Amino acid sequence: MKFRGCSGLIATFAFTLLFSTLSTTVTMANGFYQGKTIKMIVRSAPGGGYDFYARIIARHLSKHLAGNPKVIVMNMPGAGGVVAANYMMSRAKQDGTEIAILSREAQIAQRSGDAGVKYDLRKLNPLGSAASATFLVAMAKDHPVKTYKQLKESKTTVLFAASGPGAGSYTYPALLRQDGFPVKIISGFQGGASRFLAIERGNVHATANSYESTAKAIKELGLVPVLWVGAKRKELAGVAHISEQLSSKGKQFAALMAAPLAAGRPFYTTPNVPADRLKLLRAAFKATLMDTALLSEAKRSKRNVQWTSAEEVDRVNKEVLGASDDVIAMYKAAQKRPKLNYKKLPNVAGPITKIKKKGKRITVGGKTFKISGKRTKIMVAGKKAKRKAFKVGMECKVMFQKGKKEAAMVDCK
Amino acid sequence: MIDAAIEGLFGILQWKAFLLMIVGIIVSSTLVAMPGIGSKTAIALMLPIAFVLNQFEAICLIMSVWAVSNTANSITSILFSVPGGGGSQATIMDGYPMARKGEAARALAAAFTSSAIGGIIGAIALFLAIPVLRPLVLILGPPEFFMLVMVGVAMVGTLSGKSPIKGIIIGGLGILVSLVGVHVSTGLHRFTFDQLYLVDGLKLIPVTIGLFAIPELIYMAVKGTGIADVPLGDLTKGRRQGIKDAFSHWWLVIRSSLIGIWVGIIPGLGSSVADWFAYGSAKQTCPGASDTFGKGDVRGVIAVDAATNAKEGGSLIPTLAFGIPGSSTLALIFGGLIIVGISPGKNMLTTDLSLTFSMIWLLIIGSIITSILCLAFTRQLALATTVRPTILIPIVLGMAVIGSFAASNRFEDVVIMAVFGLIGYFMRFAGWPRPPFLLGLVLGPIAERYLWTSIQLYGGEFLLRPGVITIFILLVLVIFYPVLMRKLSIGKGNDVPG
Repeated sequence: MKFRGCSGLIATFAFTLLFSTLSTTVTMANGFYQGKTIKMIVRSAPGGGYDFYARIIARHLSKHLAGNPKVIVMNMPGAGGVVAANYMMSRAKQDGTEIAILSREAQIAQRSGDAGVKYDLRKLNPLGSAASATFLVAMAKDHPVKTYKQLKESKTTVLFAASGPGAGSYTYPALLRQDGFPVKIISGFQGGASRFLAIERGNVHATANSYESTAKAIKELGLVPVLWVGAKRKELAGVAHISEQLSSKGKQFAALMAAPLAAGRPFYTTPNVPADRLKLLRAAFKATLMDTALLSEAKRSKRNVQWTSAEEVDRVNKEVLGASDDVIAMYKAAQKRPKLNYKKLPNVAGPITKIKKKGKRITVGGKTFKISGKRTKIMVAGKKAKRKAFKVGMECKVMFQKGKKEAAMVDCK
Repeated sequence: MIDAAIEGLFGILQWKAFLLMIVGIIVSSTLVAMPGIGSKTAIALMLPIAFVLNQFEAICLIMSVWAVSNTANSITSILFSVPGGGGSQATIMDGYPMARKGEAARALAAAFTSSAIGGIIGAIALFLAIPVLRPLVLILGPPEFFMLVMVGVAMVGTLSGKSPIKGIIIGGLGILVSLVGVHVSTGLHRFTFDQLYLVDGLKLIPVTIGLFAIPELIYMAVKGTGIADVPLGDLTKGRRQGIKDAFSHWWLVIRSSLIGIWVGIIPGLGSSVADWFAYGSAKQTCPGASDTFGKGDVRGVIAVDAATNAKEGGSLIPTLAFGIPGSSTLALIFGGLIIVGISPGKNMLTTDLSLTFSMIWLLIIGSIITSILCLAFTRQLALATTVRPTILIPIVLGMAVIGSFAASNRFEDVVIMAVFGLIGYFMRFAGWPRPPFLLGLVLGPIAERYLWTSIQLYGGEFLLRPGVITIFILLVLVIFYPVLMRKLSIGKGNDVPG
C-alpha cells in the first residue's frame, strides 16, 4: 500500500516535470510574459458588473497566455471611468503588461467632450468585449400602458425611475422624452432594485434597466416589458424594438446610444504595444472567454458571457466617434432637464393693469402673476428685457404653467 | 418557521461551515481591522472560493468578514485615534482619551463586549422583523427617508459640545464641502474647478483620518511621550472592569443598538453615521454626560460600539426583503452569493427562510466568537500605548497614509488627508468640534438626493404625508428632549423642601 502510494507520487512528479519542461519550450518561443505580472485595471470600485468581469477574466487569463504571467486586479474608480481610461492612455506601461476594463460609454464621453477626458480610444488597443448588453423598458403591472405604441400615445405622463444623467436608466427615457413621448424622469433611485421598489410602492410607473435585472422583476412583480434596445435576445421575441416608434432623428440618436451595448464589457491595453504581443493578448482574451471553467463560473453567477472581437469594439468606437454634431447636440440636450415649450402653455393676453413691487407682480386680464427675475423669460418689443421694463398699459401675453402663479414668459409689444 | 431556524443553525454549525466562519472572523479581525483595508477588498478576494462551497458555507465565509469587522475596527481608533474603518470614527471620541489616561485595556474590553451584545440585538431585530419586513420597507418612500436623515442632522447640535452655534457652523461647512462633485440628479459638475479628482467629491476616509489622526500625531510629537500619559496599571483588572462596564450600562447598550438598527434600515446611510448618531444620543441622554464625554467616559465607547455592530442586522432588512443593499459592501456580498444560488428578494422570506436564519445565527455566533477572540488579546494591544513616540509616530503615520491611499489607489487622497490634518490640528486646539463636519459631509448628499426625488414626485406636498409628519414630531422631540429634561429636573428640585 505504502509503495503504491509512493509510486503514484513519483509518477505525478515525473508528469509535472515533463509538463513543465514542455511548457517552458513553448514559452521560449514567445517568452515575454514568463515571470511577468499583468495588471488588470477596473474602472469602478469592487462589486458590480465591471469588477465581476475583470476578476473572472483575471482568474483564467494566465493559463491561456504563454509564460503564465500572474494577473492582479486593481480597482481605479473615478469620474465614471474617465480616471481609468486616462491612466491607460498616459501613465500605464506600454509593453502589454497592463490591461483594463473601461466604460462601455467611453466613446460617447470622448465624442461629446466630457470634462476631464484626456484619452483617445483610437489610440488605445482594444482586446475585445466579454459580454453584450440589452436594455429593457418595463411598465408597472396595473398601468394602462401595455405596449410601446400605447406609451407613445398615452394621455397621462408616464413617470420613469432613474438614477441620474449618464446612467442607462436615465438615458433611454431621456431619449423618449426628447422624441416627444409623454415621459417624466424621476431621478435619485440608485440601483435596479430600488427602482423596482419605487414601482411596487406606486411612486413611479416604469423604468429602464439591463435585461438581467429586469427579468427577475418581470417574474416576481409582473412588470410588463414594452421595448428593448441593444443586443438581440430570443426571450424578447414579442417585444418592440426602440426604433419602431421613433422619429428619424430619434432613430439616429437611438443608434448612437445603442452602439456601445454591442460591446458591453470592453477590455483594452495601452497604446504602442508591439503588434505580435497584441496579437497574443487578443488570442488569449478570446480563449479565456471560451474556457469552459470560466463559462460555468459565469453561469453560476447568472452573468452572460459573449466574446466580441477587438475589430468589432473598434468599429463601434469609430461609429460613435464619427457621429454627426446634431445627434451629439441631441444627446447633450437629453442629459439636461427639458426646456419649456412656451407655445404649448396656457396664456392670458391684454394690457398690464397693475404693477407691484417694482415689477415682481403684474396684473394682466384680471389675473395677477409673480415675475421671477431668474426663471421668467421677459420679452419687450421682440427683445430680452428686465422686470423694470414693464409699464402699465403695455399689451402683453403671459404664458404660465398650469396651477402655478409664476409666469413662465411675458411677451410685450 | 422554527424548522427553518433549526435548519439554519445546523447549516452553519457543520464542521466545514464553522471552520470557514472562523477563517472569516480571523481575516476580519486582523486584516480588515487595519485602516485602509475595508471589508470590501477582503470579500472581493474571497469570492472566487465561493464557487466550490455550498450555500451555508458561502454565507459563513463571506458574511462573517463583513458581520464582525466593526468589533476589531475599534482597536486602532482607541489606541491611535486612527479609525480602522468607516464605522468606527466615533469610538475615537472617548476611546482615545481613555487610552491616554492609561485605560486602554478597559476601553477595548468595553468596546468588544458591547459590540457583541449589539450584534446579538441587531440579529434579534432582524428576526422580529421577518413577518413585517416587506410592508415595513414599503411604507418608507423617499419623503420618509428624507425626514429620517433630517433627524440625524438634528444631532449636530448635540455633537458640538458646549457651543451648538460652532457645531452648526462646522456642520454647514461639512455640507458645503459635500456639494463638491457631480450632482446626482442633474449631472452638473459643482465646484470641481475642472479637476478630475474633484468630480467624485471628497472621500470620507481620508478626511476622517486627517481630521482625527494627524492632529494627535502632531500633538504626540510636540509632547514627546507615548500615548498613555500615566503608567498602565493592572491590565487584567482593566479588562474585567471594561466587561463589567458594558453589562452595568445595559440600558444604554439597548438604546444605542436600536439607533444602530434604525440607521441600518435607511439605504445609503448605514455604515458611516450610526456611530455618530449613537454617540450623540448617548451624550444627550446619559446623566452628567456633558461634562465627562470626550474626556474618556466609558459610556461613550459602549454606546458607539453597540450601535455599529447592531446596524448590520438592521441593514439586512431592506437587503433581504427587496434586494436593496444597505451599503456597497452588502451589494458586493449578495453579488457573490448569487454564485451559490442565493438571490435576495421575496424568496428569502419564504422558500429560502432557512438561509435568512443562518445569517441571523451567524450574526449572533460570530459576534460572540469575535469578541472573545479580541478580549483575549486586549492586554497585548493595550501595551502599544506605552511605545515611545519616535517608534510609534512613523508607524501610525504610515498607517494613516496607506489607509487614505488604499481605498481608491489615488495619491490625491493622501494630499486631502494632509490638508485636513492641518485643519484638524487648528480645530482641535482652537476648540472647534470636528464630528459635525463629518456628519455634514456624509448626510449632505443623501439628504439632497432624497429631497430632490421627493420634490420631483410630490412637489412641496411631500411634507404633508402622514409618515413625514410622524417623523417630524420625532425630530422635534430629539431637539427639545434635553431642554425638557433640564426644565423637569429644575422643577423637581424646586419641589424638594429646604
